[in-house]
Amino acid sequence: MKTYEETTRSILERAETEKAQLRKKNRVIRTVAAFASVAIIAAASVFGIRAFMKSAPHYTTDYKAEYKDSFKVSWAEAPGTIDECIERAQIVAEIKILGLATVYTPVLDTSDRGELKFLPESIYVGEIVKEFKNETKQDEYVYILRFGSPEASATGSHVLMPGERMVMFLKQTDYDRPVDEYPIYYNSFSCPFQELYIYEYDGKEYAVPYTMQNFMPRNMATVSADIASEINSISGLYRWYDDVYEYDAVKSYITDAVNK
Amino acid sequence: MDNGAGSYRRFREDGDAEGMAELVREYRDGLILYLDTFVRDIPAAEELAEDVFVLLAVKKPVYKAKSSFKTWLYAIGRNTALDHLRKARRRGEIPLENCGELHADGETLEESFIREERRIAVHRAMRSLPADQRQIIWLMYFEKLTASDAARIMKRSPHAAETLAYRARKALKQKLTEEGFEYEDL
Repeated sequence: MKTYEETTRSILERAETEKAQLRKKNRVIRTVAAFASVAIIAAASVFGIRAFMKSAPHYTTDYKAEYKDSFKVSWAEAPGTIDECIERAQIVAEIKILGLATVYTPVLDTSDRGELKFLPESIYVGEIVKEFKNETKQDEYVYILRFGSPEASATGSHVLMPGERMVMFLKQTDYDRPVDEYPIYYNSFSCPFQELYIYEYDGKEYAVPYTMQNFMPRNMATVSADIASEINSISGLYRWYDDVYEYDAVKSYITDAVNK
Repeated sequence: MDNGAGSYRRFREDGDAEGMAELVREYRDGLILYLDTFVRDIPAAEELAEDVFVLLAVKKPVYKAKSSFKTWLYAIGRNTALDHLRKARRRGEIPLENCGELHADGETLEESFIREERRIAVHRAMRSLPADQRQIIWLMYFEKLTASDAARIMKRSPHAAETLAYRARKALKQKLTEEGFEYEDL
C-alpha cells in the first residue's frame, strides 16, 4: 500500500494529466458544438420547453409568486452561462446536448404523511439529450434529460454526485391535466416527468423512477398503513410509466443508457 | 468538526496542495475499507479511492454542505465503485464477489484503522455478508455514521437503511456466533 505522501503525489500528477487531456478534448468539442448548440437551443425554445415547465399545473400560482426568483438563482448558480454549461456537460457526458431544460421536481416527504412539496431546491437544470415526438398523439413530445455532472444538476434534495447517472423524462401533455384530479400520492407519480436512477440491485442494473424508490416492495414494510393503502391504488403509475415506454425509440434509448 | 470541508475548500479555491494531502490523510484509509465492501479486493479499493480523489482534483465538484463532508465523499466513492463494477462486468471479468480472502494490505489497513482486535474480527466476519449489508455495517458501525447519513450515501430512505442495518447485524451476529465469538456491541 502506498504511503499518504505517495498517494497525494499520484493524485496530483494524475489530475494534471487528466486536466491536460480534457483541455485538448474540449478544444475539439467546442469547435464542433458551437454552431449546433445555438441552433439546438433555439429549436428547444421553439418547442416551448421552458414555457410549459413554467405553466405546469403542479406549479401553483402562489408557489410561483413565492419562488419566482428561484429559477434565476438556480440557473445562475448551477451551470454558469448556458454556453459554459453545455461545454462542461459535454466534457463530462460526451454526448450530444440538444439544449437545457429546467425541471421542477416535487419532493415527496415520506417521513410523516407523505406530503407533496415543491421546494426551490427541487429545481434542476438538465441537458436535453433526446426529443421524441409521439406519432399517434398530436403535439405530444417526450424529452429525455440527462444529469451527469454536479454543475448541471443544480441543487436538490437528492443532489447528484459525480459519476451518478440519471435520466429524466418529460412528457409534455401531462401538463394539461388539472392537478386536482389526482389524490396527493398519485399526483406525485403522475407528474409529467420522471427521473430514472440507474442503479444496481442483486447484481443487475435497473432503471427506476426516483419517486418509486421508496415504494419498492422491499420497503413496503417500512411505510405507514395509510401510505400503504395509497400504494395499492397506484397501478396508474405503472400504466403511466408503460405509456412512456410505448415509444420504441425511448425504449431503445433507455436500454442503451442502461447498457452503456 | 468536519475538517475535510475546509481542506477541500482550500484545495479547490486556492489550489493548496496541502489541502489535498490533508484529505488523503484524513479519509483515504476509511474510504478504502468502505470501497472494499463493494469490491472485496483491497488493491482495487485503493485504486478506486485514488480515483475518487483524482475526480475531486480534476472536476472539483462543489461541496454544498448538505451533509457532512465524509458523507458526500463516500457517496462519490459509492458511485465510483458501482461504475467500476459495471465496467468489470461488461469486460466479462470474474465477479469480484468470489474474492473473499483479505489481502495482506487489507490486514495492515485493518490493524491501523480499526485497531481493536474484536472489531477486526467483526470486520472479517462481515466479508461473508451480501454487499449492501457489508456497506451498512461499515458505515454505521465502523464509521459511526447515523442511519440518515448512511441512507444518504446508499441512496435509500432512512427507514430502509435502518431495516437493512437490523438485518445485517442479525446476520453478522449469527456468523460470529458460528465462529465462536460473542459480541454484544452489535
